[in-house]
Amino acid sequence: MAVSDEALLAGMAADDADAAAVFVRRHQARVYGLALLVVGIPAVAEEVAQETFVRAWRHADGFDPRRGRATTWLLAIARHAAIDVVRVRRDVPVDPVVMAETLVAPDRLAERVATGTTVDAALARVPHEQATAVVLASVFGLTGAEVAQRTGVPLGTAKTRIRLGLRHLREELATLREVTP
Amino acid sequence: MTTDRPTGPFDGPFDGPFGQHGPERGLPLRDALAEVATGTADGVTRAAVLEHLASCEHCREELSALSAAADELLLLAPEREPSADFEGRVLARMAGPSQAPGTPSSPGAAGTPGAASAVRRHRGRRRALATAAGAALVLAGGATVWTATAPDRELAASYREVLDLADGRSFTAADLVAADAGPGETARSVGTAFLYDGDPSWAYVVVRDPGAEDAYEVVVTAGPDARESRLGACVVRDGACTAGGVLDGDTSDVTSVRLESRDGTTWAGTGRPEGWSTGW
Repeated sequence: MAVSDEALLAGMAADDADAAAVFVRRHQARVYGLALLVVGIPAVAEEVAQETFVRAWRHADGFDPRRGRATTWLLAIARHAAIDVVRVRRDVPVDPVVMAETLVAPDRLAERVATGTTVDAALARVPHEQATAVVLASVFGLTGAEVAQRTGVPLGTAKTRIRLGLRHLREELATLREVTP
Repeated sequence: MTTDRPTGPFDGPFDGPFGQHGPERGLPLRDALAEVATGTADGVTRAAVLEHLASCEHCREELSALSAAADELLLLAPEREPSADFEGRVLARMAGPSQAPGTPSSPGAAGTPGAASAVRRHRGRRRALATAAGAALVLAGGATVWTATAPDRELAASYREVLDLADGRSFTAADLVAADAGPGETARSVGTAFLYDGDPSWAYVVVRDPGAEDAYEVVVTAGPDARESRLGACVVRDGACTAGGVLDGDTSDVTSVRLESRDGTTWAGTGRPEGWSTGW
């Protein structure tokens, strides 16, 4: 039986190198995938992914399973590490709007929903403009002003889309989990 | 119901958001909660929200739910395999630069006692570095938002806040190592040097283990021509000393930070430029 992420993080907090190895192996594709999505350069994404695991190891003793899953905790670290890089570097080739539009494209969401991905199913039910705005903020770290500028809408509209998109997403996630706990 | 009046960014046409709960709650607060949940709030907004949350359980629960939803979106990213032996490189980084050259970094070597002890040493050094970095920020009069024990999410946000506060570009740190190590002896860390790249850029040193002298001169070397800037004296008081000053160029040009004794010899300094690491 596979060791849980929580147990592996507890092992990492106790400096168990074997636990760290298993944890890295288990999550490296997800972490690197997110880093590559945000920074767009494989070598930089790999640096970000490495930094993510080092930070996770450094703060493993601060992980609280009552506040969320280890996967999302780890990906939140990766997101911050990637956004930190994007803010410093000026050669990042990623256009967040193009990437967000791709992520929330109805065809792609439908394809992933078929594989049972809850967040895709929930996002598919959120109005497209709101879904794009909330992905730009949550995944790519764009502020309301940046979303407004990049999508060509007034600041108030951008903020409203982020707020409503997030609220809709939360409601849809809750509904889906009630149906399929 | 609380009688607190709204303050800061939530004042204005939507007067009263702090006192209202439920669907009619003011727009500024709802926008601010979304910004905090997505990690895009600026420092002022985040501080105001956190202050409000201290007395509003409803908003705490809402922020928690919104944050969980925002984090779920990170699962949208398609999985991609990094290059070969990624795992080995990560484990080597966890072991830190003290790892002996040639130490295997393959998965099979991860569980060796040597690797594990290296991990523990590294963790202790990292904690010491983070604590010193926090002290330096306080001493420099910067925003005291760096908390070494905070969850990483908070830490990364705080790092960005520190930079955003004055449009800074980076904040880096490196060990200050005593120059008196003899052949075969391990170099002794005596403190930390910090570099802030912004407008202006500056350097700051924190010496936790001063030598016999009562003061050292801080010298920064930069550029291919190794030009030197003297930032003043680091005067020892109560078993420690701190000093710093503004640089006349980018920190990317800096090759070393040294502490000179009165006789002009180098008492301690940073290692090679690649020894610098990001503050986060």
